[in-house]
Amino acid sequence: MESLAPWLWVAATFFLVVVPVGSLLWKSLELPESGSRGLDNYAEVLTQGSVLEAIFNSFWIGTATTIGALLIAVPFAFLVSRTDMPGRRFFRSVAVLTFAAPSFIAAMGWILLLGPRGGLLNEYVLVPLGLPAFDIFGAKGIILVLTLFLYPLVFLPVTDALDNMDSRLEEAAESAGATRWHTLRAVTLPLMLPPIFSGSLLVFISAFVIFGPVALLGGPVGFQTIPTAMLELMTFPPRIEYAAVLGLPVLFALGVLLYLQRKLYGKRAYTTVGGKPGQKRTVELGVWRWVAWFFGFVVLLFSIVLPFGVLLLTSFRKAVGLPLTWDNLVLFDNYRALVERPAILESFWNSLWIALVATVASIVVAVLAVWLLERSRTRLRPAIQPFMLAPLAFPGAILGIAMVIAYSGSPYWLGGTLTIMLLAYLIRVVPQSFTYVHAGFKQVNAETEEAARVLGASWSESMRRVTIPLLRGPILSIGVLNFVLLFRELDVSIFLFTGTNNVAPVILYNLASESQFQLMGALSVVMLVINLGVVLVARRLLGVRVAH
Amino acid sequence: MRRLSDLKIEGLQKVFGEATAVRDLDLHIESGESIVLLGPSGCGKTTTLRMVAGFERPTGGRITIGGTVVAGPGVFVPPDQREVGVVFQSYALWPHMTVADNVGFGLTVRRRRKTLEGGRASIAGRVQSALEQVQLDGLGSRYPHELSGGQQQRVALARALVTEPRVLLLDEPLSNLDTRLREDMRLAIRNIQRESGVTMIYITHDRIEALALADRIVALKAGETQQIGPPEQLYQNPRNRFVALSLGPANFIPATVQSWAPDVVVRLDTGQVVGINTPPGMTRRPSEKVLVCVRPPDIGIERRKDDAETAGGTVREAVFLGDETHYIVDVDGLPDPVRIVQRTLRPMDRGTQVTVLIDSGVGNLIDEPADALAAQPPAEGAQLSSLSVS
Repeated sequence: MESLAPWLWVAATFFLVVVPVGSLLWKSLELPESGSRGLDNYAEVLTQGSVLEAIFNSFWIGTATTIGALLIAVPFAFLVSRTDMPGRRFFRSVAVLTFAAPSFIAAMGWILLLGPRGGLLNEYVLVPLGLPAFDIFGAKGIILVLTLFLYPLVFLPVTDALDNMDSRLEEAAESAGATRWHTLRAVTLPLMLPPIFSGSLLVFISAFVIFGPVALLGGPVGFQTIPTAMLELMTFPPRIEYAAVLGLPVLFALGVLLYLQRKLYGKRAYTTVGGKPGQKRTVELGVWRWVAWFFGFVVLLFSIVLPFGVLLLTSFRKAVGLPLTWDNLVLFDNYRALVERPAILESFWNSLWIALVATVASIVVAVLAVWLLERSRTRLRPAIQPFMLAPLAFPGAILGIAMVIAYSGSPYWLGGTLTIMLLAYLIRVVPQSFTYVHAGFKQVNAETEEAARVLGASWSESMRRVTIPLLRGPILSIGVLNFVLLFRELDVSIFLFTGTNNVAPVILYNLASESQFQLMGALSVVMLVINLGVVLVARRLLGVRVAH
Repeated sequence: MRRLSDLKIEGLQKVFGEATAVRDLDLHIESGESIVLLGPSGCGKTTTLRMVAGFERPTGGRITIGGTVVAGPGVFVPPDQREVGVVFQSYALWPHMTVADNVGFGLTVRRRRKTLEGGRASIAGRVQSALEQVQLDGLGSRYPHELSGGQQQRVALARALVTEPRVLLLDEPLSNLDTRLREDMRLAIRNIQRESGVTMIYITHDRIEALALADRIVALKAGETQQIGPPEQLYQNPRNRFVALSLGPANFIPATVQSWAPDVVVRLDTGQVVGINTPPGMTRRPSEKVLVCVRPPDIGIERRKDDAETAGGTVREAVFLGDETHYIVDVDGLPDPVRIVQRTLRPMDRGTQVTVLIDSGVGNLIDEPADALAAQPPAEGAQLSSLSVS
């Protein structure tokens, strides 16, 4: 068993990383007309006006979202960590909650709020006040939704860094005669730069390749970014090799950016400057603390309360067109309609079990990889971390296309099956499983395993009775996190969906694009409740804390 | 009945990349013998132990336990089939198991493999008696974190012994304990080893542990064996400076050989002429310069009288430690100050003119050139002495 372990890992890596990327590359060189291979596709795709526009849009949306996220996150982080803003602990947990809710569901909420026809905010707030109606469809709507969804990627690391920064560093500056404002600029802000920069990179990358909100908010007005352009290239007429061409540079660029981000944030040396965190200083805001509170309240309102509240409300409406009165609300009709549709029920069941299996499988792969990296003497060791983290650079859309190319045809014939969906889910969560298990494993002394071996336990017995039980905490945490993320996975699923392999997020997406808003509301509520329920049950029963 | 096992290590070698951790180690350990591998960190002692346990593969040489080759050219028996017991420096108790489950682990493994007769009850009985042996009866249902450091240590020992291993390996087991507890555990380990008759390899950098626990000590330096022998021999007749300092503070006094046979007589640079011991197999010609090792308690010191013919000196430092007084004395004719330990009621003050006395028979010739004294920086063992020259 022990000697098989490296081979098992090689096989897993081959199918999870090498085959998809290799197929993508190979396909991009394929010339269907002549049946030969060459770089012609690249010339063809990269001169198409619509593709260039999509690339430009991706950059633009990415940049604008990053700026928006910074504008919210940095002041918010400072207020929460360093001032006497009321309710600061509550606002902190709100930011984490934002992650738990998928962005495409938030986008659906915003369609109901600010849609040009029948958007509730437009109809009941803006127009009565004599303000112009806001049209959520198009670039500015996308930026709004993405900003409110992604700002925690900056907020959380910056808050963390501010919490851990030794106030004595600032006091030293002040005792040297600096004013408070000067200290903020000369000491605090520079120390916050690494987390700010690394968080911004993550926001940019995410916005650059995110599918759901862009498709929902940009689709109706013909606004495309790279992932939606790829989906279109695959639909009609299907030019999958063009999609592959578009995917590869993105893959490469993301790989470089993520490497940079890890270099920057991986070491975290700056957060512990000055040793143990000293007494934290709080800036007293006086009357301004209520302004700060209002700022936090607005962020909460726009990122969670409004978009998800409106979905809840819509799930009780008879029809979106009818005025909002008690007569036009129903309690169960929309939920009953969900149950009455066999496709929806089936998709729920499918989502549940493939998310579960992919979660477990990713943990198995992660434990194997981490064990090889930390305990064995295999020559593969230098390759393990890069390969296990490589899927981070696959945005959903590109992974989807790579999976279609690699596995849907000969010799695997997995196209349109749940198996291909499951495999893709597994690839998506392998990096985070690896990271969690690795961090946990480093806390486990190698001698605990050797003690078992020397008492006669075989490799598998010592793994089963000692190593894995000792990793219980990280395994359960990442398990819950994976499940929650996969249960609502849209970006890959939409590319692998053919009508025969229903999963819940795709059904939800289709309800939205068919404008079946009440059903959409009901289904999103159910999905959010399941996700929240899993997290709460895990915390209560297993003591699992899910954090990013 | 315990199966008696000897352990043979022949030409053992371990190379990590560029670095050689263990070089050509030869050691034959008799059944029931207690061996201490003594040396500073990085001397290869832990690597040796890990190769015996099966955690590392030797890059050369052979290890034989009880007549079976467990590691050698083309042979590697994995740790789970070697029947050795290991007590780790970190104890490596499993925090998710009770004390009894920790101790019984090896037995349950054997029961699963059907190599153990009797059922659950007999396992419980053996765990019980193992816990009694280390005086932990009644604590079986606790978890390791509920025990003190010394108790955890005892659990680790019981766990290693309960399967009746052929060889018991201990990797600096006492280094995480405080001084008092260390003394108790040292005695406990020695008693258990004697009673059970298990062959033992014990690793430490602590000379007291080595002296107290060993039938024979192996002094290691940078992967190479310096000397193997009983504690008294290594203490009294160290082969070189390193070994001398590993086992305690020592003075190295330059001397000139006056005659070699039948007795070895040298003239110390202090002017005294004394008979000394020599390591076996060493020869020097008359008038050759040599180094003589003398332990601090073996040197006499008294107030200088005007008519004294013996070596004179001046007290540089005197530290009264209750049981004894430690002196550092500048001696006429010697390049380095001499350490002296004496049992005195009234210590002499700094600056006192003294006479230094070295009797015949207390000195020991070491196998190093006389100029080694100036050329070598103080060996690591130097820090073991309780006084240091500043």
